[in-house]
Order: sequence, then structure tokens, then C-alpha cells
Amino acid sequence: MRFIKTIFCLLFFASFALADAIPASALATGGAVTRDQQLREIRDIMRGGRGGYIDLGFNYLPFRTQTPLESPYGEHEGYAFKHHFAGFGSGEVTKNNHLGFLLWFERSGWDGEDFFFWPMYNDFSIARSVTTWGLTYTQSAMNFTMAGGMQHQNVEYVGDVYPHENDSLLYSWGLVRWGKTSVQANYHKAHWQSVRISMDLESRAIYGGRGRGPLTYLPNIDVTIYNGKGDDDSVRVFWEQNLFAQVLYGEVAFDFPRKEFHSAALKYYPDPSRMVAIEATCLRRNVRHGAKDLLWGGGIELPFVRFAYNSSYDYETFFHAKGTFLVEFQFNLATIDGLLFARGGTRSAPMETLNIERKKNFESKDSKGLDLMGSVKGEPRTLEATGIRYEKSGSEGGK
Amino acid sequence: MKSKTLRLSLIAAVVASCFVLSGCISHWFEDSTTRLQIENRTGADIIEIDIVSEDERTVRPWIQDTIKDSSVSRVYEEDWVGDFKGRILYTNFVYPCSCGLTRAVVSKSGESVTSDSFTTLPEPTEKNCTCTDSRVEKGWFDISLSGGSLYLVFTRNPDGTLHFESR
Repeated sequence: MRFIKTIFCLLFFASFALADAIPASALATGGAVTRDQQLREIRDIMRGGRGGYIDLGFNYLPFRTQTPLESPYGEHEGYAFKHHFAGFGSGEVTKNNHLGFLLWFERSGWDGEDFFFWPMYNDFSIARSVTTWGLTYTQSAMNFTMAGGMQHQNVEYVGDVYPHENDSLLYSWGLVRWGKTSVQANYHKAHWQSVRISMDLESRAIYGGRGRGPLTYLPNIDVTIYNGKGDDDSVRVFWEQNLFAQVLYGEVAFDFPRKEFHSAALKYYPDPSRMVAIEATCLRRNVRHGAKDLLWGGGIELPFVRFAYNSSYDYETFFHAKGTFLVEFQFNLATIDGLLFARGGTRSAPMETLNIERKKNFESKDSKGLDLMGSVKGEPRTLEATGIRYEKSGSEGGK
Repeated sequence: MKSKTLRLSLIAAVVASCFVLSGCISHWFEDSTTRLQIENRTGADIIEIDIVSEDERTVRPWIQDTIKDSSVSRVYEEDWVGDFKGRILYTNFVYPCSCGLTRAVVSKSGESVTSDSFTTLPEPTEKNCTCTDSRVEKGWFDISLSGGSLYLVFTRNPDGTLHFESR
């Protein structure tokens, strides 16, 4: 056991030293990636269209050698950062009519120092924020949702090694869902940026579907068309498939018209609420041909923290960071009709049932529970002091 | 219950230290800029030190002051932390004379002879006769910077190439 621990520690620290640099080009295109990711998350939450959602997270990098920046001049040591939060809340205005508001925010980039609020802003830093907000309307009897709003992409600082970026880009987005089909579009002024057609055919107990049976094995497919801006438009097809009892899933993404494999993942959620996830991923980096083009990795997601190494999610959303262990402190929780689950979950978390059981246990005992401070309920809490020293207060400022 | 409290406080301490170490604290003990000071012992005048791109096509000047031979520059602070390629420009390179290669020759007594009269220049008879080349020469070096104060001493190898070491 000790040997395994030592090996693990060695690998862990070696991974920091052997981290690969993140290219400046990945940071330059980070805004578009974030906007797409936020819209994808909104699509997931809008599967129900009511209830609420909260998300909070930030990447934690203890060493500045983990995400060095690769510029034309060489490798700069520093920290890539990603801070994000999201919230969605809705209320039933009249019977079956729900109105809601959602807000997604992310601030990300690269800086010479690590920080929470005030970056160092050195010659090679980049700091950008993306805010997506919108209003939602859901008719729950018809299982229909309409949502729309704006997306603001603002660069607060751009270093010298990045291409010019407008410091205030404004996009609009809209989503229409009817049953299990949704269409989401993203515009910059009158020019469309992307259109996503999603068919979440899988039956989910959380939205009133089945908890088991053949209907839960139907696939979730989404097709996203990206505006190529003069070049050919590209299409990404994403297929999520329940492989076993809504705890084991396979995911695969293909790119068209190149007809190329993009990524694949095998994900195991010990509980269908998806509070915990263990994943193995494979991603095509499109840097060279052959087997070396594929990036293999994995990750473990726990309710408050996520550990990953070369995971495709981090490669895509964290500026192509690879070759190093990444830690993300994160928490997300969605609710609908009083049921709790994580984003993408299919059944409610088992926490409530546990609470009820515990309550029963306490009652079945001699009705004496323990309160938070550790004293037995119903009895006055006493404090016995031993070993208190009394000191005479001196004349020179002892009090 | 006691062990539970202990465990909880331990987790809280770990989470808190992660928060603290991740936000604005690490540069208390890590420098995020490099402060460079140069001592010139090359026998030439250093006129510029830059960081250049890998393909040597893009240049970002770091020190653009002349550092005379056997003098020390002031401290120049820049945001370079990592592995880079440096470039040094120097001129007025003084070296033992092997006449026939230089444009300007200075004799021991200090009388300078211009390149126009080069052909009439006699062969040096004294051993410590020195020549000065006022062309601008370039030298490249790879440098790894970890931030903080850096004191570099530039010297000349016996073969005439420049060499630096940090102190």
C-alpha cells in the first residue's frame, strides 16, 4: 500500500514538472469555446425548463509550471485560470406557466500570478469574461420551453502575443424546446454563429419519465452547425448513450464534413443523479496524423472537487491544458419539483431518503438526538473549566 | 463525535489552505517578474539585450542602454519568467591585433589609424598592440528565467565568443 502511495506521489509531482505548454492560439479562441460551452449547459438545464440550478467553480493550480504559456518567444511560466458561476431560478406564475431568469458567468485566461479578483496583467496575460443571461418561459403541461437572452464577451486585458479582439462583443441566443427536442441558436448581430438541434430521447425519471426499462436506452443526440465565416460550415454530431442502468454512459462526437472522429468518453456515474462521475476520455487533437494525434485521459468528479489528467473536457475548455493533473473546485446542483440532481442527471439524488432514515433512527432511540454542538438534546449544556490560570493584571497595560 | 469534529476541521483547513495558496498569495514567495542587472567584462560595449522569438524574426528589447566595458548596468525589470532565447548586441570590440582584419587600429600610444590608411599600416611590432572593431556584432543565448533578481556577468572566452554566468 505504501509502495503504491509512493508511486502515486511521484507520478503526481512528475506530472507538474512535465506539463505541456498551452498555446497562445488556444487562449485567443477561448471566448468562442466558453460561449458554446455555456449554451450547451443552458440546453441541459432547459431540458426541464423550470426549477433551479446553481454552479460554482474555479481551477486550482498549485504550481506555475503546470500551465506555461507558449508564445513565439518561448515558454512563460504562469497560471491559466477559469472562474465560473451560474444560476437559474424560476417560479410558477399561473398554473403550469413558469417564468425564470438565468445567468452564466465565466472569467478565464492566463496570468503571471494566481489570483481571485485582481490579476497581475503582465505583458503576456489575457483575461476575458463571458456572461450569458436570459429569460425563460415554460409551459409544463405542454412540456414546452422558450428561452432567450444575450451573451457578452468582454476582454479586460490582452497581452502582446494575442491577436486583436474587440473588447465588447455582443451576441444573442434563443432556445425553443418542445418535449425532448430543442433548437438553440446563437447570433452576432444578424449573423448566425451556431445552431444546435438536440434530441434527448432518453427517458429521465427526473422529468417524469421512466426510471428503468428500454426507453432509458434511447440515445441523446445533438447536431451543432457552426458558421465557418466564409469557409465551409462545420458540423459536430454528439451522441450520448446509456450503456447500463443510467450509470454507465458512452459518448462520441464526430465532425463533418471532414467525417472525422472528434472525441469519445466512457463515463460511470455511481448514482444516476450524476453527483459523482468517473470518466475515461479520448480526444483527437488534429495536430498530426496517426495514433499520436489522440489524447487519452480521465477524471474523477466528486460533489465539490474534480481531478483530471488529460481529460477531453479540460483540453477543450481549459485552453488545451494537458500533461498535468488538474484540480477544479466545483459544485453544481439542479432542482426540479424539490428533487435534487447534478446537471445532466437522470434521477434524484438519494440524500433525502437518507435524511428520513436518520430521522427515524433518532426517533426510535430514546428520543434523544444530538444537536450540532454535540450535547444531548433536552439537557442543558454545561461547560466545566479546568486548568484556568488567573493572572494578576500588572500596572503596565496588562488589561 | 470528537474525531468527526477533528476530521471536519482538518478538511476545512485543507480547503482553506488551497483557497489561500491559489489566490494572490503564491507570489509572496515566488517572483513573477525578472529584475536583470548586467556586468560587462567582455572588452566590448554592450548596446542592447533583447528577447527574440524562436525564428529570430520578432524582437522585444529588454535593455536598450549602452553598458560600457567593465561597467555595471542599472536594474531592468521585465515580465520574462520561463525559457527564452536572448540576443546581445555589442560594438567597439577590442582584441589583440592580428592586423589585416580590421578597419580601425589603435596603437599602444593611443594614436588611431583610420581604415583609409589601412594599406599603409605597418605590421605591429609590439605584442600588446590592440585593435578595435566598431561594427555591431550579434550573439544569441538561451536563458531560463525563474523570476526575481538576476545578476549576469558577460565575459569573453579565449576563442572570442561571448559567455555569461549568473551570480
